[in-house]
Amino acid sequence: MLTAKDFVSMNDLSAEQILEFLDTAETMKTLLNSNTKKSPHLLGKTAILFFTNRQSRIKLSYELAAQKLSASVADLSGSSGINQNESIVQIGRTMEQMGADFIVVRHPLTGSAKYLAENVSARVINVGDGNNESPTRALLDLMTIKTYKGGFNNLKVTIIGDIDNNRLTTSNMIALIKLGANVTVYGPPTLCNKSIETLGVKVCSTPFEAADKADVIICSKLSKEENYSKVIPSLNEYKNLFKIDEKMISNAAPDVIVLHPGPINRGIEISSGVIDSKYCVMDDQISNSVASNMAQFYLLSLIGGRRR
Amino acid sequence: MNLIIKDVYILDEGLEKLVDLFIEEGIIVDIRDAGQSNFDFIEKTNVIDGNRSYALPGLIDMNCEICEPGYDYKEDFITASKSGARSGFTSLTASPNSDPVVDNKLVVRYANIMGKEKSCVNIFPYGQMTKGGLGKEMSEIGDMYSAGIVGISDGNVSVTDDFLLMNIFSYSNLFNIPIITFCENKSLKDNGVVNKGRCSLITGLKGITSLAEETYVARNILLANEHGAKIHITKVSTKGSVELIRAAKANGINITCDTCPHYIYLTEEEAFNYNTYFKVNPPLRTKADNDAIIEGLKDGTIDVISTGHSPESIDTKKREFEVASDGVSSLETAFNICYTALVDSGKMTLGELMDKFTTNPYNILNIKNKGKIQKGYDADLFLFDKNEVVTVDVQDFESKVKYSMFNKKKFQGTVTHTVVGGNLVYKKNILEN
Repeated sequence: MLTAKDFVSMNDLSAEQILEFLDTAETMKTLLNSNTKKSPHLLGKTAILFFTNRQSRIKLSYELAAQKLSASVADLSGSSGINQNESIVQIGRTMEQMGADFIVVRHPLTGSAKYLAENVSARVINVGDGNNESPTRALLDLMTIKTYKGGFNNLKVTIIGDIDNNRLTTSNMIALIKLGANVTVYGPPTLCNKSIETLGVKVCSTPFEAADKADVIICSKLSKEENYSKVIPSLNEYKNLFKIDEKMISNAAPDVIVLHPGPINRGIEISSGVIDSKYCVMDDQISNSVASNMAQFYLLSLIGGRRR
Repeated sequence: MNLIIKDVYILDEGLEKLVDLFIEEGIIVDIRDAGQSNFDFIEKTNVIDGNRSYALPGLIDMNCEICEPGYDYKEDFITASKSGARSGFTSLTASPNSDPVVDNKLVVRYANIMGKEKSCVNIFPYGQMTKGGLGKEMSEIGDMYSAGIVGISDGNVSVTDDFLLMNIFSYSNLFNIPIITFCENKSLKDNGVVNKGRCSLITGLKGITSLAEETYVARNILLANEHGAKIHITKVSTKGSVELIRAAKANGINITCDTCPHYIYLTEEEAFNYNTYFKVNPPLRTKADNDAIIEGLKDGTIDVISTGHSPESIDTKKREFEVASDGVSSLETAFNICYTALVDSGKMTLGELMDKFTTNPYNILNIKNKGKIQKGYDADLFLFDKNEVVTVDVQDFESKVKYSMFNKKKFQGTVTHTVVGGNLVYKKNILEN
């Protein structure tokens, strides 16, 4: 059972709680595949989407998820980024005054989701706070892995790319380790600080060591916000050294799956051959998103709630 | 072509041994005690009579500006290599600060191909660690590594951006190549031109404090320690730098360094009369610095002696001191000076000196099969007659740079033959390509 009213970090969840999210998402998937496609669980509740940048795909999936559960949805999104005059808590309290039961937040400042969650009684769902975490997005990856591999125990999961500046990767690493997987990472040394070994992951120094007998390979994307000019030489060299390609796949387990959060930098992070192969399961990741979001709304609605 | 070099002394674990060397296809295939073989039936052209001189493994220069492409009016592959061959160098590294800068694989390939085509010695290019040598962005180190660089270098211009340099140190761990850094803190250098101290006091010229070098040596040591990088400090000139590097080595940091002959042999006093031939960068320092450097060479703190060959035209050199260039033409004098200053004076053995010019630099640059006279090694070697006294005459220089800090000075020993890959490329008075 969940205990916290918010879903802000994978650190806050136990392995059982993560699995509870995944199982509930499976149930929601069944609902979505049924004829009714809608349930009254959140009737009368309000979800506010508070996105400081334009993430249309993710916002869309939350909007759809709330509607399927019969909640009313309001949107306070803009491209303004950081507001100089008003803190996220002040904005959050306003939303709460207007009746928000859920605040789905994406914010460029690291730690802002937690700051908001601690200061409002509405349930906060973190869709990415700066460079910190994206636990909701990680649920999709976990769901996809579970579908293909059945479970997580002793699974070898390899994450390749920018490890340091990727909030999804942070959430994935924390969750996968809690679930019993063996996580190895590989990337440019400047983007793969050795100190992450304290999380329990293994930092590899060659792509072959990283991909060796891997059951799952996850691409950790280069961030759009990050300036890489002093950190890696060029995308041209990046592709030569860190691209997920057929050679790497041939070193992995025969039934390996490759995950990529999209949108793809084709030929740079991952080769066309791999994207179009049977190993790449990107489509599943997308189709799981609405069900996973519904699970988050539903499970959080069972606890906590608005102060009255 | 097969080649036999008879009657030469080689150094075998510190002991001198009189032998005949047999070379086939550019490789030393046999070493036999002298006097045992009969050469009567072999064509004379294929036998070099060593006349009991030393046969020493060919030298490599870790800090040498060849200037081609782009600045070949100063020096080029042909003149630099002939100049090196004349004094026992069989391999030169090429500084990346040409035009275009060696900061991508295309220019590395150019240097490799033209180096082979035009040069009579081996050319090993360095890659510039930042794009255009501007110190702003990291260059494509991995691509250049695949194209055949032996190290990355800042081209004797320190990277001032600490964050960038740290990332370069960290990133280079992917490849087994050294990072050659020149240490000069421009802010502390403050447009100085001579050593800060007596020289700046007497001449009134602006001085360069030792700290300009030492602060960056310290910075680079700290950054390298954090990331386990393999760094090499080039052109060490001060006592303080030697002490910092000695302590770093004692702490297990993966660091090596080199100095140049003029920092062993000359002091700031040479510049007292505004003679611009003695304007070099870093500047000539004091006797105490010379002594510390020699001590560092003896105890292994300083691994390598490089020439610091840095060609600049005579027109830029013969100027008012403050605006004169820092040009140095030292390929043709480096070994003689060091032999005289260190071996002939009894401070080091010949074997120890050879380590500074061959074994250590080849190891640092990870170049295999060179630097020893041994069966199976490449036939890169030179014959050295230690008894002859030579007078430096810049007009004899093969280099385009016909000036020297050591003009008309006498040194002990002379190179009589140089062999690269089994081919005789230099014979005293006759240079062949």
